[in-house]
Amino acid sequence: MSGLSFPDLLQLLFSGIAVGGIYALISVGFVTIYNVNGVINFAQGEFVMVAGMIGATLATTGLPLWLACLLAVGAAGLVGAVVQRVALHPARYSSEVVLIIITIGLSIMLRGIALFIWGSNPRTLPAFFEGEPFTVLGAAVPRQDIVVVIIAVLSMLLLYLFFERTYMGTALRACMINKEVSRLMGISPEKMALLSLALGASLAGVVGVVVTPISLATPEMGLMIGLKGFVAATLGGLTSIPGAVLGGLLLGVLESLGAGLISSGYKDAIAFFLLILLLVLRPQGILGGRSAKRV
Amino acid sequence: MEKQLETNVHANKPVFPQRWHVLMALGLLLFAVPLSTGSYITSLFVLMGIYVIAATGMTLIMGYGGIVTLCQAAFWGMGAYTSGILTATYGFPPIVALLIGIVLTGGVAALLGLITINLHGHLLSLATLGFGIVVNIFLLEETELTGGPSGLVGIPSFDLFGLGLSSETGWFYFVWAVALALILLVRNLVSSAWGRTLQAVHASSAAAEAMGVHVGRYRWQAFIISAVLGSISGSLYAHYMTFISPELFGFEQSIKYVLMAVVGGLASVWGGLVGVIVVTVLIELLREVIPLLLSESSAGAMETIFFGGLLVVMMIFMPQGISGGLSKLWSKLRQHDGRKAT
Repeated sequence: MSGLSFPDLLQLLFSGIAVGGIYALISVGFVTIYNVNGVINFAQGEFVMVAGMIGATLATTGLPLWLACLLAVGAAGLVGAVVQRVALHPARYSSEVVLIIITIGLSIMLRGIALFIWGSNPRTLPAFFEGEPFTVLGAAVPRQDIVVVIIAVLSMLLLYLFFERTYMGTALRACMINKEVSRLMGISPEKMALLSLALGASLAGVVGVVVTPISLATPEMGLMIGLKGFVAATLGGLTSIPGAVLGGLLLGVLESLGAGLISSGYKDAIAFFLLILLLVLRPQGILGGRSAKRV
Repeated sequence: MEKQLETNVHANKPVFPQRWHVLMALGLLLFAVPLSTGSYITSLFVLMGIYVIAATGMTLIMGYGGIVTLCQAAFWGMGAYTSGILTATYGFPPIVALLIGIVLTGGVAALLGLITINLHGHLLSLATLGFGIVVNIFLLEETELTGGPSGLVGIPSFDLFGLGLSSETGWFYFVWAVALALILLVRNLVSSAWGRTLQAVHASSAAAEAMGVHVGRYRWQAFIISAVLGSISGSLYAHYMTFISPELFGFEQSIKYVLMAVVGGLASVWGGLVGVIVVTVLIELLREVIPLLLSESSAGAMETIFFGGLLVVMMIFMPQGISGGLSKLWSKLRQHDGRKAT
C-alpha cells in the first residue's frame, strides 16, 4: 500500500472529512444528552438506524425525497423523546451503572423492533443529487459526500443559533453546565432532559438519512456508527460541543487514512486503538483542560 | 453467632448464605438431570454450566466491583481460541491448552486493566467495548491463525489424564462440578478480607480511599479474576462444541453475559447461576411459543426485543435482580413472621 499517489491521499482525506461530519453530528448528540441526563446513550446509533429505515420506507411510498427525510428525522426525534419518558425518566435517580445498562437494553430493543418491522434486508434511499462524482485536484468526490458535508455544516449552524440565540437553547445550555443552579433559575431539568434526547436523536436522524444513500440502512447498523460517535465525543472531551465536532472530524480523517494506508480489514479497529491510546494519554479529551469528572 | 456477624459485615447480603439445605436440594436436583431427561435437555444443561462460569465472572466484576465491562465475550473467545488453536492445530493436551488460555487471558486482562480500571464509569465501559470489538476483528482477520470467518474446526473433546469425556452425561457432571467449585471459590473470595475491601470500594470509593485502600488495585484484581473465569468457560465451550467461529464471541454475547448477571442479581455470587438458568429457560420457552403466535422468521427479532426489554425493565424495577428481589422478599416475610410471633 506504499505506492499511494497524491490524488489517492487527497481522496482519502475528502472521504475522511465526509465521514467525520457524520461522526461529528452523532457526537454532538452524545454530548448534549450526556450533560443533561448524566448518561452516555448507548442507543444513539439506533436513532441513526431508525431514521434511515423510516426514510427509506417513506421514500418508496412515493413521497418526495426531502419530505421523507424530514419526516424520518422527526420520527427519530420522537423515538428519542419516548425513550427518555419511558425508560430514562423513571430511572433518573439511579446509579450510572444502571443507566448505562438501561440504554444498552434500549439499543437492543430498538434493533429488535426494527428487525421485526423491516426484516434484515438492507434498505436504501436514492442519492440526493444524481450524477458523476466531482473531480477535485485529481481526486473523485461523490456528490453525496458533498451533500453530507453541507448538511453537517448547516446542522451545526442551526444548532449554534439554537444554543446561542433562542431562550430554550440557552436554558438547555445552562442545564448542561449546572443542573441544580438552572433549577433554581426556574428551568425544569426534566423538560430539558426530554428536549436533549429529542435533539440528540434528531441529529442522529439527520445522519441516518444522509448516510443511507451511501452505505444502506440495516437494523444492525446502529452499533458501529453509534460507537464511532461515542469515540468522537470522548476525543472531544465529552463536555464541549466544539470539542465533539473536532473529535468527529479527527476520527473520520484518521480512520480514512488508516484504512487506506494500513489495512481496510482493521478499519473499525482503528477507532478503538485511538480511543485506548487517548484514554491513556489524555482522558480529558483533546480540548479538555481539566478533568470533567462527575463525582 | 459468628455467622450473624459475618452477614452484617456484608454491604450486599448473599442470598443463600446459611440456607445450605436449599443448596443441597438444588445440587441433588441438578445431579438427577441427566438420569431423568433426554440428551437434548442434558446438552442444554452442559451449556448452562459453561455459561455459569463466565457469568459468575460478570457478577463478580459488576456486582462486587461495581463496574460494567462489555468484553466478557472477548475473554471467553480468547479462552476458546487459545484452547482450540493449541489442541486442534498444535496437538496440545486440552488441560494444558486451558491453562495457557488462563495465563494468556489473565495477562491481557491485566494489561487492559492497567490502562482502563481507573477510568470513570462509562469511559471504562466504552474502553472494554472497544477492546471486545478489536478482539473480534482480530479473530475475523487473522485467517491463518483462527480460520477467519469460517471458524475453527476439529477441536478435540476434553480429556483429563487420558480419561476422556465421551458422553453428554460425562460432560454434564464435569462441567457442573467445575462450575460449582468455581462459584464456591468466588464466594469464599468475596467474603474474605479482599472481597470485603472490594465491596467497600464499590460502596464508596472516596471513603475507601480515605481509609488507605488502593481503590484501583482491588478492581484490577477483580477484573483479572473475572476474565480468567471467562477464559475457563471459553475453553470448555470450545472443547464441548468442537467448533468455534468469531461471531459467537461478539458484542451480542458480551451483552448476554451482562443480562445473565443482571437478571440473576448482582448482590450475590449465585446471581450468575440464577441468571444463566432463567435466561436459558426463557430463550427455550420463547423459541417454543413464538412460532405458535407469529411467523417463524420473526422469532429472532422477538427474542432481541424481549431481552432488550427485560434488561430495561429489570434495571428500572428490580436493579438487584431476581436473587436480590427474592432475598428482599424473604427477609420481609421473616420480619412479618417475627412480628406475628411477638
